[in-house]
Amino acid sequence: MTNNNTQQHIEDARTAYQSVRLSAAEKQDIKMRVMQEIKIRGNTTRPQQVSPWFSTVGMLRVASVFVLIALVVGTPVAFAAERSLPGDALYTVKTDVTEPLAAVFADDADTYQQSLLAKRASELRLLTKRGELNPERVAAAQEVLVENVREALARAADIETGEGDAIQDYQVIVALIAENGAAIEEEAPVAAAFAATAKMAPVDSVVEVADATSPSDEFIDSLQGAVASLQAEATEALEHRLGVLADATQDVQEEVVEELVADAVAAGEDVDTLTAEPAVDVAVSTESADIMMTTSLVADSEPAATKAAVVTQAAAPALDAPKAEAANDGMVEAVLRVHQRIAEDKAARAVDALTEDLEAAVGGGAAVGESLEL
Amino acid sequence: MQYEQDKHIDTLYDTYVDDIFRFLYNRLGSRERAIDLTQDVFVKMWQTYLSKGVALEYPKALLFRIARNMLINSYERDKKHESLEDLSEEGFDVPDSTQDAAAQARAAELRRMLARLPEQDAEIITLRHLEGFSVQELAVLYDVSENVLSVRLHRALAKLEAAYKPPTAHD
Repeated sequence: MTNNNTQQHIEDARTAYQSVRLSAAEKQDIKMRVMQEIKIRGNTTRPQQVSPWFSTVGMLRVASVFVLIALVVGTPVAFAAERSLPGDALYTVKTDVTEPLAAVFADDADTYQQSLLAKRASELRLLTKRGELNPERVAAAQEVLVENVREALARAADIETGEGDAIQDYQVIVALIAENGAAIEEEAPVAAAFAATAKMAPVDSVVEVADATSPSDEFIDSLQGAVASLQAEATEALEHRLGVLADATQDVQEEVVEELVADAVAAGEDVDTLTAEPAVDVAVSTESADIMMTTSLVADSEPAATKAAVVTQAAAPALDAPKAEAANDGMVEAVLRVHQRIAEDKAARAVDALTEDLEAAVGGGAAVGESLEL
Repeated sequence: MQYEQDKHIDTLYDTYVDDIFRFLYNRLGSRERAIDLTQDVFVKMWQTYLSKGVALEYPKALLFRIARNMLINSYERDKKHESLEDLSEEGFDVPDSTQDAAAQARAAELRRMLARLPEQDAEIITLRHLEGFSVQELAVLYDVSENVLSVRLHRALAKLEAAYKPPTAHD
């Protein structure tokens, strides 16, 4: 696309551009600093992986917190609660008793609170890995998650920049739920509704958290980006479900048409043997074509529904995603119902007309036969 | 697990550190600041993805996405900082001693032309034609389809061509 002159400039610029490199010493220095910082952050922001439970610095503190928790809820319960997952009986002990107590005694309460989001993500990942994620467990995780997000955002030191760890952890959780929803959707169409709920539930949380914390514009932009991404996923899932529905409807319609055409052909053969009247063939094929056309209406409903979805999305503000989705579903269902009704009515009329034509043809053929016999 | 994560960041670092540094240096014009942000990019990469065991299909695109976000935040934090256009107009350039004077002049000319384009157009051309990104990687970086990306690239190149043309009497 570029002319030779521009191409030459680009090639020269590429050579100059690619010549920029770090020295070996600089590379080594940066790498050392990166690894050091990772080590530090690994020991402070990821307590569910390394600390506070196993870090050397936090051992005594954690031990004292655990003794306190054990005194409150009992040692076996405290141990079991810490290993519980969303939906387990002891999960509320973990989230309502042990974690708040640990937060109180944590070195850095802000960081600890943020780490809980990563912990929630780990729990969901573990449940997904075990194949144990179901609507009840998602609901249990969701309930705690909203509280964790609200608390973490309220505490996050870098909330004003809109790129705190809390948000990134939260986005990982959203992605996990969305991925899991998609997997469920593929395995069982019945679970499609759950998948949609799982995808949209985090949006509800985002809206709720945004309302509760009065965040900065940058933060809102960040959330809107996440919401827009979720909307796109939800729309894709919706279109997938529409496609499945349209295919299923079309299969049913085609079966009906095949039966009608088979009947019509059988009747037409009988008529042919009696009369050899071409008008009957014309009538049968015309009415069959009408019936066939009705089936295409079902397929037509899909782009119509998609357009409706696009219009709805364009009109709705990004943070009104749940409303937009609800409106989307409503419009899509309405469009489908209308097209279904049209298809049914048209099919019924076509069958009536076909029956009349066939009866007339059979009657006429009989009359011809009688006259021939005479 | 921890060992695997460290090994992963180690590999990513060795593979992409020059690319990330070059991208940041090209935008910032300051070696020190580019080095600092390069460090931050890899720490953030570990913190956001690797430490959580997130599978990475396009690590290069993700690293550059982090770098872009950090640049934006850096610009916002430091309002006094010169923009890419300012730097280019003042003659900031990346010299290459292996090139002859004519080639260096052409390279400098291209940078001036890029500086006249909207920032995103200049960036997409830089990443595609200077940094060597594939269309697929760019699509991941900008979070758009490959078709959309191709159209953007096509338009950006058309603007670059137009920038090279001398102004007509009507202009």
